[in-house]
Amino acid sequence: MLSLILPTYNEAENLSDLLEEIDHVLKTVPYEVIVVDDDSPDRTWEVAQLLAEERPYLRVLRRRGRRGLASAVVEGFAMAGGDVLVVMDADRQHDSSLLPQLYAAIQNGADIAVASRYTEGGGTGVWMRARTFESALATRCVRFVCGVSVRDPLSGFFALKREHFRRVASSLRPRGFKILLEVLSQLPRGMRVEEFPYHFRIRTAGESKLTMCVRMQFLIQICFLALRRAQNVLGTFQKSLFLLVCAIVFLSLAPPAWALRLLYTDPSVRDATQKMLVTLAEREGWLLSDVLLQEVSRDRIRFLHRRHARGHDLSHCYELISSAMSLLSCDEA
Amino acid sequence: MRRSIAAFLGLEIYAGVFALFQLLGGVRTDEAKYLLNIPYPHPPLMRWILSQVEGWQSQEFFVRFIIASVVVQAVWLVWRQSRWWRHEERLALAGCWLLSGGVLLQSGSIMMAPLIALQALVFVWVAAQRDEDWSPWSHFLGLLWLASLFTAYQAVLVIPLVIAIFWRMHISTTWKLLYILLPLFLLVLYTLSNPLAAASFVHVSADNSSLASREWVEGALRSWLVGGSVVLSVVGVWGMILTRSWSLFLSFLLVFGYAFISSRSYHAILFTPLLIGGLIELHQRRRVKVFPIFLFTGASAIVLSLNLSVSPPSPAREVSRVLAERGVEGELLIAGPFGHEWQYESLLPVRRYKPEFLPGAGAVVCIHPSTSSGQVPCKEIESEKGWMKVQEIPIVLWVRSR
Repeated sequence: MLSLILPTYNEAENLSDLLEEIDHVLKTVPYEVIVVDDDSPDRTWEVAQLLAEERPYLRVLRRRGRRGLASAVVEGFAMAGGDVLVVMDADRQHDSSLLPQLYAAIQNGADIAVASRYTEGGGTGVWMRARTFESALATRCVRFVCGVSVRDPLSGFFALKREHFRRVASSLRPRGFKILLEVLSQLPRGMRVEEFPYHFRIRTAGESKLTMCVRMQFLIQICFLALRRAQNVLGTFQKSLFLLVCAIVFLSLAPPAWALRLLYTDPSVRDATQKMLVTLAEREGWLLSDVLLQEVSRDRIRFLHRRHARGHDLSHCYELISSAMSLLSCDEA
Repeated sequence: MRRSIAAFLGLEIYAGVFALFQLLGGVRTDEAKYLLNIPYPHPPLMRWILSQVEGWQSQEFFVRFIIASVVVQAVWLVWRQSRWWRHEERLALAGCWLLSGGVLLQSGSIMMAPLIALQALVFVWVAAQRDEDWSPWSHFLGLLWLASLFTAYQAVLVIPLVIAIFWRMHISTTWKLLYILLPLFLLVLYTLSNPLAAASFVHVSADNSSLASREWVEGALRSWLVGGSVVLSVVGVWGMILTRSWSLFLSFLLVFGYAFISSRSYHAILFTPLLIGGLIELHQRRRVKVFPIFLFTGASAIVLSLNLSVSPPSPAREVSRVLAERGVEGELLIAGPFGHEWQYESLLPVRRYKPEFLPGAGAVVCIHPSTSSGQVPCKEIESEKGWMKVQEIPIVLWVRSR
């Protein structure tokens, strides 16, 4: 059975005509339709509920306190009972006549079937040049950044096998509105994807949801997907990175700690060193915190004296010989 | 998106207020340690980063603003943790963070405690996502744990959370132990390479040993109650116990123990992320209403704010200004106990006063005499020729006459 998910927001004017189109197109296919509405101000959910009274295959999910196309689709998929899950827009810009082809492709072994604007025979319709350019650029960026080979990974009109959704459902992070992209990035490579050309139609009613906010969400989604891809590509190198950083820290700390070992192993050296430093600090008028011990031996200590002044923060290396309490520069010693 | 941008900007203004408030008190001795990368008491990571801008004129305000911003903007992490809640409950939870005593008092201070609190908040968030598989992020969390430990020793206090996070991951036991223990080992190695760090803890313990037991208890209780503006403090702990969030509760006990032995008011913020975690657990498992908690927390926060006072700034800045105006050169000798803020504010190299250093000195500051010795500091300078006392500032300052 085909489960068609229609995520809606302020599509009350389009819903009735769309359902009639779907009824006509899916005459020979067993199907259900699930309208997932984000509590539309125009009460799309109420219109859907009224339509459901005459259509037993129609179910309505009204979401309150949650927004977002991608998350709406995920919830719709989770509710669906069919073995083929399809999503399309409810604004009638997607050509519903493709539904039987998408369904047939999945039944014939494809893992995902995508209605594509960018495959041969497809198109973006009569979009303004700016939007066409924007869409094409976004698609190219996504293919490059996320490494997907599908020509239209941003399509909102696609079908997939229910078992694939179940496999990735828990790891999906549905941000923004490009759920196909999220699904493609989670599924293992080697999935059989078929693309079918279609032309994006002009919206007949309602308003476009493509706002600056939505664009920003899309950019954020791309960043997260790129990060995830980098994670997958890095693979075992990630653990090596942790060990590498730890190794660098170890190599920088071990020599000075070793050079000071007598402080911890020999109480007499510790006491003598403390006395020397206190006497020296009093004699020179230094703060003890300006003295950084570098090496301790039984007869001498080596340290850096740093004034800790802003900007001009000179440090000098000294050796202090315990027997004479004489201070020598490290170069002289 | 517009609302998010407006919220972000509003939070930045809130952070700016904190930074300006802390600016009134000037740089304190503990803050100067981090601004100048003085190698105690904490490990070097964050103080090294802060010291990279020590040549900037406005380093102090810049760092205060950055720290205040990250502490305040951490509310988005709190917001994220409540993403399935009703909107007003989310706002109430975010308000609990923003109006907690820890955030009110410590945002904008140049201390390691607010930064450790932020890192703890990340661990609280990760630990709360029990259904999430964090194994792909194990390396990142391991590096974060390492970075936390090398920010400040206080990071050790959240080890129960860290253990809970790594133990739940689907990785081998060897890797779990490596992620948890290797950073700790490196911290011990750092301590061995810098005896000043260990000595500073001994010194502080010696100082605190002179306090009465009652003062120790009061100090710890005060830090805890301030950390969550009283109401959140109680509800947060109650939430940890009721929901049996033992890693949170154990971390809380460690922080409480630390506040007990260290008796410093700026540790209040260390409680805040844990208390928020406790409140989140309480709401998610027992459906406790968050909004009334926020209202009472807000009321406590107002009372706390009214009792806020800024300690007067150190005279170091004023002295530095006077010396700069007079074009004084040479060393600045200081008689009496003084803090690192003198090294920070002074344009001249600072040295402890001894009469034999006078020939190379351009100025001498005489801080209040020690009552135990009873000696008047800088007595010798009064009989030295070529020195004059500066009258216009409330500290004894001698400068070499031209």
